[in-house]
Amino acid sequence: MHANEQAGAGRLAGKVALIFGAGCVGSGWGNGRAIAVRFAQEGATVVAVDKRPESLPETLELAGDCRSRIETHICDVGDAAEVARLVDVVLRRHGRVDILVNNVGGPVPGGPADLSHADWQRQLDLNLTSVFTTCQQVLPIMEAQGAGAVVNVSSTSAIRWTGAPQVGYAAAKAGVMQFGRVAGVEYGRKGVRINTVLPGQLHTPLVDAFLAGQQTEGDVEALLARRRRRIPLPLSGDGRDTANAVLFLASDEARFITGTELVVDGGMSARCD
Amino acid sequence: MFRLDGKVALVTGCGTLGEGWGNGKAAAAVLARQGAAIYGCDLNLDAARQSAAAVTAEGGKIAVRQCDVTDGGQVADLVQACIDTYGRIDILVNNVGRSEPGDPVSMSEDLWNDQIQVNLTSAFLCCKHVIPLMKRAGGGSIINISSIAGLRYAGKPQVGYAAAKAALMQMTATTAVIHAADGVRLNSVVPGLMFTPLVERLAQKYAQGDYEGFVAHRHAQVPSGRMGDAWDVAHAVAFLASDESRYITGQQIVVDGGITMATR
Repeated sequence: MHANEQAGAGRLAGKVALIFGAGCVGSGWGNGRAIAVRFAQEGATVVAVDKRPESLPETLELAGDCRSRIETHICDVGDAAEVARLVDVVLRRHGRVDILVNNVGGPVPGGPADLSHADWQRQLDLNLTSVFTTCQQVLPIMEAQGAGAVVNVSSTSAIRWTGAPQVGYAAAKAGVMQFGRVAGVEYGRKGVRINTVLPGQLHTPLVDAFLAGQQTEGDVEALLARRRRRIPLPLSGDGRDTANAVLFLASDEARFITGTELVVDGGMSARCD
Repeated sequence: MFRLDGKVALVTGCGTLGEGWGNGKAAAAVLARQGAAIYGCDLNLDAARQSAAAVTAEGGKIAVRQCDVTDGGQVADLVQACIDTYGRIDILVNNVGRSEPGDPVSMSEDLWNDQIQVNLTSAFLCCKHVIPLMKRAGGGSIINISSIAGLRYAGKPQVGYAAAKAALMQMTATTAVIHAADGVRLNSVVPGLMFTPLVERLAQKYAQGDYEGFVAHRHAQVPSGRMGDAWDVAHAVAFLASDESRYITGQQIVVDGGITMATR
């Protein structure tokens, strides 16, 4: 049985959660979609935001009976003014933001010699500046509340070579991690916690939609098999594993945890053989 | 939350004398609240019994016995006693540990060896006896309680403790890779400055008994402005014990209010 089936204990009851990147590039359990559904199952009022309108209906569908706790919005985190308007709408409607999850991101292949300067810049914008943009809007709200939790979704690519060159992504995701550390310390006395989840090589729809094309000429099974060889645990993680880690860090169970990371990778980063 | 119904948890160092909540006692209580049956041990049987009474009082299921977990024979007996009582072990929490003051110059060789024994070898011995059972049963989750002293200088000279806790984290990560295929997960919880009943003893050892001053200083050291407590450790333990962390192994959860991410 997947742990998600044990849902519904109200661990986020009464909380308003703003999730950026709550859709998905394909069908199935992407990280953001799983986070939105898991939060709703635990009683949060979920503001599920994505740039792509067509990605959100499946998020609602997967939430089942909890879908009434999810409201969807379209917003491009690459546009700071758009983010500011959205946060304003959320604040007027719900009066507060207890949890912010930054799940927007995605890799573009290429090492320093291959990646174009424009792609490098776009990778930093998408994966790192997006976190800055939403935090700039939301942290003052949390500070005024005297409470809040931010969870940013990074990647094990922030801490290891993970099998393919994607230097812009790796550098940006490492930036997300350090952003969380220093902002976590800065906001400690303001009652705001900031942490980072580093998913490893999960089988999310991103694999089928992009990564297999980038890394194994579209052969999904070949990519999964190559990954299995470097992952110690004999099971395949998916977006729900990311979601459970984000849930823990966002909940009051983690009230003394800030400025740190939780790696969800089946043990991959503990080995270098 | 993450239910643990039907699971059995072995918690070492579960004892707390009196009303307070030490890490082992709180871990036992939280795991029991989630439905696990607890087998606890402590060097001090009275302390173990008092913790058991507190867990029982809130409806939890717990049995305890005395054990010196630095003694392999006693650990073998402990594990057998847990099996005799409940028939299985799904969760192992290695919570035994103790800090003694000193640096390489001031610490005696005997005390150094004792620090390694109590903070590192204890967990090694419990893993040695429990992992084969978990492997046979198809899996399990082991949570080792480390310390930020294993990551940073944390304000007082405790070189044996620091070295042993660092080693404990690496033993955890390495063993996690080795036994992943058996379905056994191993992770560390790394507490920072915590407001537990232990603080009184630490004030005796490190602050000439100035309890108030020692507590105020520790609160001020933490970026969030206050120490954590045993419940914060226990909740991280429960998360790692549960199937919600089924894809997490060889990792650490630092529970420290941000202190290890700041210089002074």
